[in-house]
Amino acid sequence: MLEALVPERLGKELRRALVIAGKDVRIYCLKPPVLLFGLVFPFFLFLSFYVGKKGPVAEGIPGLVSISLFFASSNIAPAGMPYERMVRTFQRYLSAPISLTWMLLGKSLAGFAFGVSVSVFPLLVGIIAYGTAIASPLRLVFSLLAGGLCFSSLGTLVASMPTDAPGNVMTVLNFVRLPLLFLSGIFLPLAEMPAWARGLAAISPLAYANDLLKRSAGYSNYYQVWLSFLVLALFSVVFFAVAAWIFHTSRRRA
Amino acid sequence: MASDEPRYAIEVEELRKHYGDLVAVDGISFQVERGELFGFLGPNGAGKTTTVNILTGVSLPTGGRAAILGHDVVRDSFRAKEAVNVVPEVSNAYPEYTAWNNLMFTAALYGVPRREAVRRAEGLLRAFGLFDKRKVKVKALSLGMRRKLVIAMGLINEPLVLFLDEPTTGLDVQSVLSIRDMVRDLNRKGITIFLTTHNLAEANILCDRVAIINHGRIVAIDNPENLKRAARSVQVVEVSFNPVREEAPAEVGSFPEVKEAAKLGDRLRIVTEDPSLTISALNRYADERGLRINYMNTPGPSLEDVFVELTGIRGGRQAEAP
Ligand SMILES: Nc1ncnc2c1ncn2[C@@H]1O[C@H](COP(=O)(O)OP(=O)(O)O)[C@@H](O)[C@H]1O
Ligand SMILES: [Mg+2]
Repeated sequence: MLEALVPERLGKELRRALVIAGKDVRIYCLKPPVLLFGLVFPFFLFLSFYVGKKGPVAEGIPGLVSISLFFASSNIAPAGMPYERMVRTFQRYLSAPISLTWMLLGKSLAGFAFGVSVSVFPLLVGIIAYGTAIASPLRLVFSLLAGGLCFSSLGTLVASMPTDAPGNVMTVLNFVRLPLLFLSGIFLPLAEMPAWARGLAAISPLAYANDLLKRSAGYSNYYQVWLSFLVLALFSVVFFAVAAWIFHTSRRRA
Repeated sequence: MASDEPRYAIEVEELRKHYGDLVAVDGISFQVERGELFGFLGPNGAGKTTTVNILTGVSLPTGGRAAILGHDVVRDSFRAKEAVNVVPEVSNAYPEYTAWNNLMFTAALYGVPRREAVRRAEGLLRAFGLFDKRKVKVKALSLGMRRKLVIAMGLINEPLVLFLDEPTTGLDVQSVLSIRDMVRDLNRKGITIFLTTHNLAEANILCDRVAIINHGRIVAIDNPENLKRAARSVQVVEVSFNPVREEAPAEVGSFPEVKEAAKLGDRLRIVTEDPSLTISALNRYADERGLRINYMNTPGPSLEDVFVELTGIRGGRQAEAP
């Protein structure tokens, strides 16, 4: 067991996880389910909810960044895994010299890298075209990273469903994501929500990520900053741990 | 790497795999010598793929143990997997990658340095006649080319042990022959090969030794010469008479060289040690009784017949024997 922690071995695992992440980003970022549910769908969802509201566009930018990060980060693994089970490339990872946990880290990293990159676009548009201010660049960067990590772990968790039908996983993914979105405070600020909804919002990681991004752009936040980071970190760990456990269990059954 | 050279390439001891109540692999034991071309022969559902999956880390055993070059496949799976590669039953290259990118990706996954990977990929693609197709996406390759590409992917890390799960099943004759040549060649270069097949002839012409597996159990491990002898003594002749003669199974069954004659639909299926003797006997038999022979054929011996010959047990399982 300790052998798994020897630096030489860790180096190999890390490099191979990066290889998997790179391949996944390259293959899946242009796949229809990723383009549709990771980019187009969240954008129009945002427009349809936000456009009716008055107020400066700049104010909506943190929300749009949150939504992009949320949908894009969580989309790669659920689009990729069932498809890879179907075409049997999934078992390549199992027979390759990389441990299952590191392989999953690579898969999560793909979602993370894709999500963070995608969310930079609305951010730039906001800054350049609508004068969105960045109150704290460092906090902004860490908020994007923490959110991306958490949402890609969520994606990996959904992808752990032992099925080879991509459609099923997409359905479950959206079934999970939409409630989290409506409870996130993006469309209706947390402070204006009824108490019961605010209580439920506490279980939506998107609420914390969006709160952090709002604060980074200089708007008022609802949760303490440290609390938001802590909760996102905890969600990331729990999502990933449960996903890893499910993958290990299904290999025993395979 | 283990400091002292391990004796066996593959060592399997009382290995079992259960899927709920179904016992897919039922306590098998065998050893494969280094450099051997070892065949794993059995009908569909015998447990061949399950065994390969366990040996290559795709699945975990329910019981028993297995080691590759001395590395336990469960406790030391990382090391075990570094020394091997596998060509699974279903060709599984990444469909949206080109042949070239598939090789590069696999190389990186096995830690082959980039320049070395390029050199090997070129060599493999040329050797397998795929160099012209290197920029073609896998989804546009024919079945046979895909199979060859996946074999090339299985060689990119220069494995010491290569698992080939039914490498020729479902391919055209041309591809089958060239893949068999390839396999022989690889083995001559020193790679230990574990090859599964449900094709008796393939096992006989390719392998140094063959394990016969049925219902998750190893029925026999022998060299092809002995298998061929067993196969030769269970040749099959199928015949149908017009008009149908009810007594035929019993009468033909009493020919001296015939082991068994049974009705199979409108035909008589005859297991014999000497098909040509049986054929002339059948002609005489038909003449004497005024029967016309509608149909006569000599299909190769079935695996089932060889099992019976080797074990004396029909159904391949002691408990089910009459
Ligand atoms: N994942 C699985 N779940 C349940 N049963 C399985 C699974 N994989 C294989 N089996 C069963 O195990 C037996 C052996 O299968 P397999 O190893 O694929 O045979 P072979 O490769 O010799 O054709 C079969 O009865 C098959 O149905
Ligand atoms: Mg099989």
